[in-house]
Amino acid sequence: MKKLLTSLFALILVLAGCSTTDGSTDTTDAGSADVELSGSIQVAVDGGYTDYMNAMGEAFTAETGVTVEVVEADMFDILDALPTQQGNTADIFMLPNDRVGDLANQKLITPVTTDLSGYTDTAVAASTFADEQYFLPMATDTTLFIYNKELLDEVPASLSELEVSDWAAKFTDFYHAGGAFMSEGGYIFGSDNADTSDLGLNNDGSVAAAEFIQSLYTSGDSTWDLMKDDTVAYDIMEQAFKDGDVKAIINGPWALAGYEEAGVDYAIAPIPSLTGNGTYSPLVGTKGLGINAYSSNVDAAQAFLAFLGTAENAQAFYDETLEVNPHTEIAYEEGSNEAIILEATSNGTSMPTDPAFGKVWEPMADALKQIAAGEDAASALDAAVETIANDIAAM
Amino acid sequence: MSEKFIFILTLLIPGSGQFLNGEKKKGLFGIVYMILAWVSTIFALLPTLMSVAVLHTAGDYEGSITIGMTEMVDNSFYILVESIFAILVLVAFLLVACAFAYDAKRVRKAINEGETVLHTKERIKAMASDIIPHAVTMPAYVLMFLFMIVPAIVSIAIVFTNYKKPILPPAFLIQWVGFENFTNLFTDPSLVAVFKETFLWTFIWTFSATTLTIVLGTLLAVIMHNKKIKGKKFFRTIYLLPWAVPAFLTILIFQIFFSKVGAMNTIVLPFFTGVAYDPQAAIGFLIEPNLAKMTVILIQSWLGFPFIFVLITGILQAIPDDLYEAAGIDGGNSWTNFWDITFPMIMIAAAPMLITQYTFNFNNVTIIYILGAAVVKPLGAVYGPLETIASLGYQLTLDANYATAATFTLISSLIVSTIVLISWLKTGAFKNEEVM
Repeated sequence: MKKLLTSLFALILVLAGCSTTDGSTDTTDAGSADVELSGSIQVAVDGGYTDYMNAMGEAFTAETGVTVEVVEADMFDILDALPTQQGNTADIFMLPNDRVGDLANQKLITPVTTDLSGYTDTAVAASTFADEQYFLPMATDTTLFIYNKELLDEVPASLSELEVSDWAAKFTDFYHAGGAFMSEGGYIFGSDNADTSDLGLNNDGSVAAAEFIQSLYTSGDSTWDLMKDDTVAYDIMEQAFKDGDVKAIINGPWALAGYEEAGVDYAIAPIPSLTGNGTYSPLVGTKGLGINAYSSNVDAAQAFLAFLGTAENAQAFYDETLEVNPHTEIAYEEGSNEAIILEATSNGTSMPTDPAFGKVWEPMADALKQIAAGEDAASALDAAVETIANDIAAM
Repeated sequence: MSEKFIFILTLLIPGSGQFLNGEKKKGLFGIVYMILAWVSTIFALLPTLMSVAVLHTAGDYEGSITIGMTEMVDNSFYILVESIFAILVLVAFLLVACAFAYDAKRVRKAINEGETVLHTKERIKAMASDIIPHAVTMPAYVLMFLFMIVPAIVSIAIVFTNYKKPILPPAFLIQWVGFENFTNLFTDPSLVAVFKETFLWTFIWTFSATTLTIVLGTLLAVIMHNKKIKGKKFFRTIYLLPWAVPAFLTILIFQIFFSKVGAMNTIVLPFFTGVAYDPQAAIGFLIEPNLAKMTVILIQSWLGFPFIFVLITGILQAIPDDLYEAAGIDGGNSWTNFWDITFPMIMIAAAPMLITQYTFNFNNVTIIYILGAAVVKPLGAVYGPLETIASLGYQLTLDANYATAATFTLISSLIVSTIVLISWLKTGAFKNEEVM
C-alpha cells in the first residue's frame, strides 16, 4: 500500500508541477522606441528565393549589423503552422494576398511600415486589409491568354469571336473564371470589393457570363465536354494545347515553361473581353513578405522589409528570379512576357484580402460545375450566393 | 473510538487516524502528504482554476466570461488544459485521502474486534500477485490518461466555448458561451443542412461499404480455404495486393480510372460492349451523384477486403477438421457446414473486429474527400452528395472552426460509441467464455 501510495504521490507532484509552469509567459515585445537595431531575424522563403534573400541579407547585415538567417520552407507549411508555432517560427515569411485578412484577423501578422507608394495600385490593394498594409509585394501573377502562334495570327477582340472548339479554359474553377464574370459586369463584393454584404456574383452581368460559359460546355465540342469533370479539366486543357488541338487557352504564367518544353510556339497577351461588352479582369494573386506578429525583433524585420522595398532591390529580385515584381520602377523590356504579365495584372481584380473571400471559392466552384453540367445558370448562381452569404454571416 | 469517527477524521486529516491507531510511520507519511497536497492546491491548482472563468465588467470583453484575464499575458488554451489537469489532480488527492481513511478504518476495525492487525507491508506481500500486474500496466494507464482522456475532456470543454477562427490565443481570450454551439446546429443554415443532407448517406455508406467488404473478404477466404483450390499461396498474395499499396495512392488512381478519359471508359467498357470510345457518351462514374455513391462503395470494398480476408483466413485455419468430419458423418453438406460450423466460429472470433470495420468506414474521410471532388452537387444543396458527417467534421477542423468541430465530433462519437457498445455487448465479445 505504502509503495503504491508513494508512486501515486510522486505522480501527483509531477502533474501538479506540470500545471503550474508556463502560466504567464509569451509576452511579445511591445516595440521599444529605441531605433538601434541588433540581434537577428529569420526569413523563411521558397527554394527559388533563397539566393536572392541570402544576397540581400548579407547587404543588410553590412549596413545595420542585424544578422539575417534565411531558411528554405514551403510557404503554405509556414502559414498553416503559424497558429500553433506563433513566435517559434520565422520572423519574416511569404504570404499570398488572399490569406492577408485571415492572418491579420487572428493577429498573426503585423502591419508593415514600409512606404508602398512605389508599387502598382493592384499590388497595394493586395497588401491592404482594414486600412493597414500587411506585406511588401514581391511577385504577382494572373491568368493570361496563351495562344499558339502557328495556329492563331492575332489576338481576337473578344473570346466570343473564336470558334468554341478553338480554345479552352478551366471555367469550372473560379480562379480561372472570375475574370469572365467581371467582363460582363459582375463583381465579387460591392464598393470595389470592400463591402462583403453586397454580393455581385448573381447579378445580370454574372448570369450573362455564366450563360456564355454554359454555351461553351454544352456546344458539343469534345474538349469542353470532357472538361466538365473538374478533377481532370486542367490536364485535358494542357494536353489539348500542347497537341495543337486548340489554338488558345487561358492559363497562368507558371505553365509557360511546360509549353516551351513541349515545343509549342506560343505567345501571351492580356485576356480579351469575353463577348466584347467589357474588359476581362482576371483575378490577380500577389505574394509578399509579411512580419510575424509574435516576432521578438519586429523593428529589425520592419527595417529589412524597407530595405527590400527600394527600387534597386526590387529590380534585383526580378533579375534573380525572373518573376514579375509589381514595383513601378522596374524596367521590363518592351514586349517581354514580364511586361505583358504586368499589364495583365493592372487590368485585373486583386483577390480581396477580406477573409470573407475565402467563402467564395467552394460555392462558386460548385455553381460552375452545375452550370457546365447544364443546370440553369441563374438558379445555380443564386444558390451559390445564398451559401456564400450564409457562410460569411456565420464567420 | 468508533470506526466511523476514525474514517471521517482521516478523510479530513490524512495520517491522523494512523497516529491514533499507533502506526506512527504511516501517520507521518500521511501528514506530509496532506501538507504537500494543500501547498500544491493553494499555490498551483487554485490560482489556475480561478482564472478559468473570469467575468469581465469593463473593457473589450465586458459582460462575457473568459478563460484568463488579459490578452497576450494569459493563453486561454493553456489555462483550459491546465485547469483540466488541476481538476483531475484534485480528484486524485481526494482518492488518496480516501485510501488513507479506509486504511485507518480497516486497522481500527481489527483493533476493536481484537484481531491481529495486518499492517500494510504484510498486506502488500500477501497481495503481491494482484499488485504486480497493475504496476506493470501503470505506464499504459498514464499514457492513456495523458493522450486520450485529457484531450477528450479538453474537446468536450471546447464545445462550450467560442474557440474558432479568428479567436486565437494569446492574442484573444477564449469565452465561455454555454450551449450556443448546440443551438447553432439548429439555427445556422449551413449546419442545419449538415444533418438534413448527410445523415442518411452517412449511414448508407457506412453500412453498405462495410458489409460489402466483409462479405467479399469472407467469401474469398472461405473459397481459398477449400482443399481443392490449387496455388493458394499465389492467390493469397494477389488478394493482399490492394492492401499493400497505400490507400491514398490507390484512390487517386481510381479517380483517374473512373473519369471520362480514364481506362474504364476508354478500354474496359469498349472491350466488353464492343462500342468504340466516344467522349460524348462516356459515363461520368464519379460525376453523377447516385452513380458516384455506388462507385465509392465498390472502391472502398475493394480497398478494405484484404484485411477481412487475412482475418478470416486465420480463423478458418484454427477450426479443427474433426468438426467437419463429424458433421460429414451426420450428413452435413458444405452449405450446412458453412452456416452451422464455419459462420458461427467466425462470428465468435471476429465480431469485435468486424464492428470496428463499421466505425472505421463511418470515420473514413480520405476516400470521400478525394473521390467526392468531381461530383456535381444537386442545385440548392449546401454540401456535396458524397459528404459524410465525418468528412464535414474534418473540413470544420481544417477551417480552424474548433468549437463547431468539437460539437460535431461529440454528437457523432456519442452515436457511434452507443452503437458499438450495444453491439459489443450483444455479441458477448467481452465475456470470458470458453468457445470450444
